[in-house]
Amino acid sequence: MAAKLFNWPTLFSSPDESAMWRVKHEDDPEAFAELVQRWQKPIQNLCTRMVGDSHRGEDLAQDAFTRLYSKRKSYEAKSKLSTFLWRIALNICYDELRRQRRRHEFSLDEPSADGSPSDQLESEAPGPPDDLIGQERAAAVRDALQKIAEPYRVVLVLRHYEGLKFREIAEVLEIPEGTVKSRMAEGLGQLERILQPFVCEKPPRRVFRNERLIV
Amino acid sequence: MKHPSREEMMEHLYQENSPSQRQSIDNHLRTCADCRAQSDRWHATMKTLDAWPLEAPRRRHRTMPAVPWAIAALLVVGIGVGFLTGRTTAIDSPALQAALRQEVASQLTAAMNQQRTSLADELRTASARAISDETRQLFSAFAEQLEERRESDAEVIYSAIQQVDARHSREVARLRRDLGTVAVVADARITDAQEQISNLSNPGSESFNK
Repeated sequence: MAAKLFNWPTLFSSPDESAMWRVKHEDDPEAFAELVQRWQKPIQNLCTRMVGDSHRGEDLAQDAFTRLYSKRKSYEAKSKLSTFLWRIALNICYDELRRQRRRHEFSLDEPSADGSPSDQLESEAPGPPDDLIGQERAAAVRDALQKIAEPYRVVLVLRHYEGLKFREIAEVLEIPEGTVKSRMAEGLGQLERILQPFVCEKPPRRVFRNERLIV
Repeated sequence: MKHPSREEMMEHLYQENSPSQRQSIDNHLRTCADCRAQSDRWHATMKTLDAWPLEAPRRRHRTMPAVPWAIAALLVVGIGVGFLTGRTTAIDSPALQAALRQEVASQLTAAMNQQRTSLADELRTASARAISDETRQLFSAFAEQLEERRESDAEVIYSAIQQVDARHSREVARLRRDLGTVAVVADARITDAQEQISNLSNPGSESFNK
């Protein structure tokens, strides 16, 4: 009991790491439930953005937590749980995307007119906007992301939607931070070309120090 | 005029650079139309990404864990009732049978895996305990042998010391005897020498005595 109360990870690490420590060493179901509750939404959103399908994203997020539990013994306390979990979820997304490609390659159906892999997504409403224009824009963005190569897509999703810093993305993907930034620039460039009709023509209001400049 | 790199512009776009770097890039954008145009395009694309918000996750019942258990329970009850009434319960739907078979197989596999893990743990614990007992016995036997060997060695050494001591005592006694002999002989010779000296100093007495 004393060891349970006074072990160092629970005293000195963040809630995520200490909960994961309890999951790893004590198979604590409450700690795992705590982690799932805290991380379910971000992981589900990541999977949805990566594969372009919210239902599939939900399934993949469940798979990610299942894999997190099955790999709990290999978690090392020196690394952040978030990094460990993002990697697991991304690997599951990559597996799913590979399966989708394989299905697409062996499918006897005619490919879609523009060659996009997202024809199977057409029946699904992409997001909450109620107005038709908003839904159309959302679907365009979703489809555009699916057309971008995975190395660029993952950086766009992690930085723009999940709010990770470039340094954190570099840690998750195990690539240099400069590469992450250049992939971000390249990904935005590709998106710009695909989304040309939807990209806001009006330039942003840029505020400089000591003056207000509308560019 | 040095243009900021793409990497620096990405930091700027997502506000990850320091205030001084921000100020420097802002100053550059104020004067460089090309960089400003590129920055605006990136910014506009970035804003367009916000057009795909995700709603709160809907709970879609993909596979509720309770469902297979409920089906299994129904099956068990059904088989039980069928057995009691003298006939087995027939399942009409092949799809239900297939789903049930799959669920039961997966649960059996999970249960077997858990059992296997548990048995492996027990085996490991028992092996560790057995190894520990065996090691303790070996150490005990080794300690006994060591003690016996030590006592035997002590006896041998004691005996050797006694022999050496006895020989030493004999040699001391012989030396004492030899010294006594030397002393007697020396005393006799001294006495003779004294007599000769006395005779030499009194020659008349010698002739008188003769």
